[in-house]
Amino acid sequence: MAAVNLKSPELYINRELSWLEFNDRVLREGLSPDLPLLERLKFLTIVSSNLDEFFMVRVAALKQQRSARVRRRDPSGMTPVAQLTAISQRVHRMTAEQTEGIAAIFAALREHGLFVHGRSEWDETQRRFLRAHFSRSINPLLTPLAVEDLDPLPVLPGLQLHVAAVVRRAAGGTAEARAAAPAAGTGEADPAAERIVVVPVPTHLARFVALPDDEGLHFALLEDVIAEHVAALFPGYETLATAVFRLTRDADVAIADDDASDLLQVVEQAVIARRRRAVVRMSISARPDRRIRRHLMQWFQLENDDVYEVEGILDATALAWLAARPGFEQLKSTDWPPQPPRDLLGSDDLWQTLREGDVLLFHPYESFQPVVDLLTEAAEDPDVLTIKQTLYRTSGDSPVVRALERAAENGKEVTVLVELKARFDEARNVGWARRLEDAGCHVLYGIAGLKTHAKALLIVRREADRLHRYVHLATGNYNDRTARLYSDLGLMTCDRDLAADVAAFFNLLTGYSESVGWSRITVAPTGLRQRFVDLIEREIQASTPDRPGLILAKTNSLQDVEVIRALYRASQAGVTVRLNVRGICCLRPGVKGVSENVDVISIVDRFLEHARVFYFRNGGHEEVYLSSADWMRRNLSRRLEILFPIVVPAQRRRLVEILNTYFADNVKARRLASDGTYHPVTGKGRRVRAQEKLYREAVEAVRLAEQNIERFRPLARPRNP
Amino acid sequence: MQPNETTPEKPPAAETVAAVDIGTNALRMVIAQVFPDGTIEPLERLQRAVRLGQDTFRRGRLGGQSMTAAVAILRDYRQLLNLYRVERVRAVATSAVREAGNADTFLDRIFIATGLNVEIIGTSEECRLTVSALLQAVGSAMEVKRDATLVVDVGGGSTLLTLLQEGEIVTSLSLRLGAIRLQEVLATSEESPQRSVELLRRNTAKILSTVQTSLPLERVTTFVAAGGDARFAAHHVGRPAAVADLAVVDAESFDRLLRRCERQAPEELVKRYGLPFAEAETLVPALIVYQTFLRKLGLKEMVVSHVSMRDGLLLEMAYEVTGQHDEALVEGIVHSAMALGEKYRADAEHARNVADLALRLFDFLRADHGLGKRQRLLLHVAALLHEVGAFVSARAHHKHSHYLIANSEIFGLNRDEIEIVAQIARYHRRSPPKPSHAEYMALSRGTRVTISKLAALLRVADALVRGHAKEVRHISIERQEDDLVVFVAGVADFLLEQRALALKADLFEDVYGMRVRLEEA
Repeated sequence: MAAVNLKSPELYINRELSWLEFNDRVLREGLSPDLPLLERLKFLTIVSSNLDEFFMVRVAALKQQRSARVRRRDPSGMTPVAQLTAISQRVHRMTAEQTEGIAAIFAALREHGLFVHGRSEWDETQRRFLRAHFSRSINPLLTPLAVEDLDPLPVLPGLQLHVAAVVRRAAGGTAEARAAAPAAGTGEADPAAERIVVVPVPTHLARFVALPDDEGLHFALLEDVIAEHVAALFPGYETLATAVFRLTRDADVAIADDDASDLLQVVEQAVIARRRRAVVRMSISARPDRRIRRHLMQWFQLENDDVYEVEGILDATALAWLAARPGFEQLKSTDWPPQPPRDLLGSDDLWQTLREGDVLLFHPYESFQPVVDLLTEAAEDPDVLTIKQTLYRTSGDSPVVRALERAAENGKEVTVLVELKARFDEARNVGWARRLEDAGCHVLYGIAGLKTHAKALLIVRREADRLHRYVHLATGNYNDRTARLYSDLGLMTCDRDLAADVAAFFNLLTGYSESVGWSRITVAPTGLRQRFVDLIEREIQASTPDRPGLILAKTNSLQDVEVIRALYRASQAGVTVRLNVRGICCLRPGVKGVSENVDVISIVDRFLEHARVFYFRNGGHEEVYLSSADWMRRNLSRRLEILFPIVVPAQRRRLVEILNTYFADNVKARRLASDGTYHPVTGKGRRVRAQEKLYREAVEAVRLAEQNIERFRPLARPRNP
Repeated sequence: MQPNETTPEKPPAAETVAAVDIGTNALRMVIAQVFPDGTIEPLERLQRAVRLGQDTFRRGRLGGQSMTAAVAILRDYRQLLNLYRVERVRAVATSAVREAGNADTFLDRIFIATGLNVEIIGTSEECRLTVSALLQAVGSAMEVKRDATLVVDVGGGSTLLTLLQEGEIVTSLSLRLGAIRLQEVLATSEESPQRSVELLRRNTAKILSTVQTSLPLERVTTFVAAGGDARFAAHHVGRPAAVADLAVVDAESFDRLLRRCERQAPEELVKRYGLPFAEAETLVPALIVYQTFLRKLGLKEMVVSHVSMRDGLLLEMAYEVTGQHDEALVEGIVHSAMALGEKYRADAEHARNVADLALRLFDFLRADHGLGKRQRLLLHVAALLHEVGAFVSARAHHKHSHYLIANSEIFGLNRDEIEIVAQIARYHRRSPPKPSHAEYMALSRGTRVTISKLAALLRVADALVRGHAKEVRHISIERQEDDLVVFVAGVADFLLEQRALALKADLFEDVYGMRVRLEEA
């Protein structure tokens, strides 16, 4: 057994391909006939937005590597070129399935009176309407580009739609028409020559153009309307062919950005500069005109692998609007409104409740509102001296930001650690960061080279007899909106040791102090990987044939090679390892002599699984930890993360039950096979859908509490969740 | 809002205090709250590396860069002090500042930037603080209280040794053997790394052997290591001891750890153990010093204390907050003073009698002078030592007393306090303080007033003890209008005392506005 080399490539699944399998599981939800139509549509849009980000960051970085002729293999033994080829194949297959799925949903929606009409389906009335609509409301907003005549070529923005067309001067064009023609200004050109023109589709116009009809809702797509009327933009020209296309560009992430730094560190700076904002993917409507396709490929320096022909709607992310618009409630999932948290039932003074004991919060089954309440109350409370908080991603008009502003205006010392490197949210972040500064908050922008991913809040309050420090630590961001969609865990506590640790953590972030050692928490990047490995090793030591060790872990991704190797050693030593990994999993389970005792499931359901929970049996002295960190190299090496223990036995038990609920799921859970594919868990016994069960438990807890309390006093109406 | 309405009865509140320590390779601060029962709850511990020691030990002066860095850090600390609304702060500096030629400039810059009044403390003060925190932490739990215990604190500039016998300090001394000084040797050595470590080890052993004459090392049964590097060792190879703030490291694992660390460059230590660079650099030299002690003492394990001098500072502030005082410490200080008196062959009985009477007067006049326990202690020490100058010469012996006391170490008193004691003793006879006395005028007004108030009491006590009122037990004190009446049992003739009082009560009358009268009881 010891002979197995735990570094050998066949023991690892490629990170990118594993991620694509995750996106495929999202796609499966979108294709599932068991789900309401609009709910399915939502999943199908997520498939697209996920892919956009994946291409902008990961594929872009792999292409950087290819350009720099990097031949370094990943832990699974693949070169950048091999990865790119595999990715292209997989995404082509995925896109085709997604398109079919969308078409099927469109077809089914017609029965409910919702019609999205393709260009070929417009009837005469609709055509007339659209022609009028185009010349009145769309045409004035268009800026057509005769691209062949422009030097330098314009930079077409990524993630937007463009209509490309081949036009040719119509016989007998007027002089006036010639003046407005694309060739104008370039002097003598062959009047018979075909030209390629590009019309950007305005982003501020609605993608779905409502068509008047007596019955049902009817829509046409904006890009179709524009394509149909391209000729109107070039009087005297006729349109020979049109195609809609969409580019995905290199997101130009800096090397310091941890999302792709693993790939970019080995790429020369000069290469990175050259490929900055390069096009990495082009989606184009199916069977485009050969001239258009060839022209665009040359222009954007693309290979066949980079071009994705799409049969139906391009840019499915726009369908989110359709899925979310009011109405058609019977086609959506029933709402699961957040419940008042179990640990706060019957509490009317948050401060006092926390002084009496820890509070565990499980969102979105339980409301995120108490966290907002804590902050809002702290902001107005004359006894509160200071508030310190990390903000990674938060919603634009967030009650969290408003509370911090209020607190600073009320003269409290407010320190906010804003992480501006939160991907794709920069612009949004800069806005509210400035607002906080204006309000008088002490805003810090983190530590160079490290992303502050930990979620921590510290409130110092002077009470009658002493100072109390209130702490909130969590697996999810301070974002009241995602807190309704992401499943996350949080702990509110008054525990002195934890408070001292969190205070020291903030001193580290603000540069007030170096690390002085922690009593309860563990912090990345300095000690967290080692801590995880130590915890796993300890489990190995404690494991006996009579009483094998047990590790339960729930994380978004498992990719860190050292953690994976430790888990392989655990499996070899007979430790049972049960993993609930929503996304990337580079560990290969079920390999003889290596990972037979490792079981990996993944759950993709209506809430995004986001909590990180780690359980170790530890010879009977069970330990449960929560963390902001995933088992990924970037989290453990390039981010500031916190791992904290849950010490209240009842809460520890509750977390173990939650973990086991996921492992019992036989509706949404999929199991990772040794070959890297995922398959539905074969349902034995009673049907268990973890998220549904967890939601029902949250409701039940409130109902029981109401029953118990009603006899004595009416329960206050729960605050708005 | 009317705060009084909402909180009619305030329970006694905890007070927030802070200790700032300007050390040889780092600035550190602890903020804590002290409860009415004296319990201390640390809130924040901060630390930032600044290599003040390197400057001082190399060039005798603090460098501009490190001073600027230190001031910037203290500004941050000030922010945090404000945030917690801390009013009671004690800031101290040790050898790096103490030995620097430009210490005053540095302290002035700190004061201007932060309002922090930094006090330079001596090695004996450092030892005392560390040991009092240690004893407090240990409580009655450990052998420390019974056996001969050696406490070793390897700092950047020096190593402090304290020998405890049954929990009491017997001796303390400091060696010029600091981790930074040693690291300097390592860094500048032309030898191979292994060889220089070997040289370092031999050098350390040599220095330690000089200690043996003054410290009975063979009696030591418990070895306590204090200091950050010892805590590092405890963190990695220690096991918890019976007492929460202590850990035990056995010699074998310690040697193994040190062997591993010796082989690594500071950069590797930073990476492997997450140490700040400055600490990584001095880790090996410091551990070598501990190892040398461990071998010399022939012990199988060492006890590592997680408390530090800063905890000692907190403890003292806690006493101030609660009004309690550490009886053992007062006793230690008094013992130390008596030992000094003995050294200069002062009349012990006379000294004790004067001290007793002076303290009686002090207690009786509490409302008039408004001074506290610490000042009472200073008077006590001054009374015990007022005549030591006679050792030099009987003529103008009060001036010799001043000189001798001012240049002595009195365990548990800081430099400023020793100067006060010296001046009280100086004014026990002849001229009261005058503007022409340069040393007196050099002190702040508040300090001058304190000296006058205390010297006035010492003079009266001394005058009375000259004559029959030796036995303080036999006297009682009363106040009659503007007179302070001292009743002495069984004595009618006060000629001697009257004459002495005529010479010495002048200051008392000035300060307290009362005349001293003697009457038979």
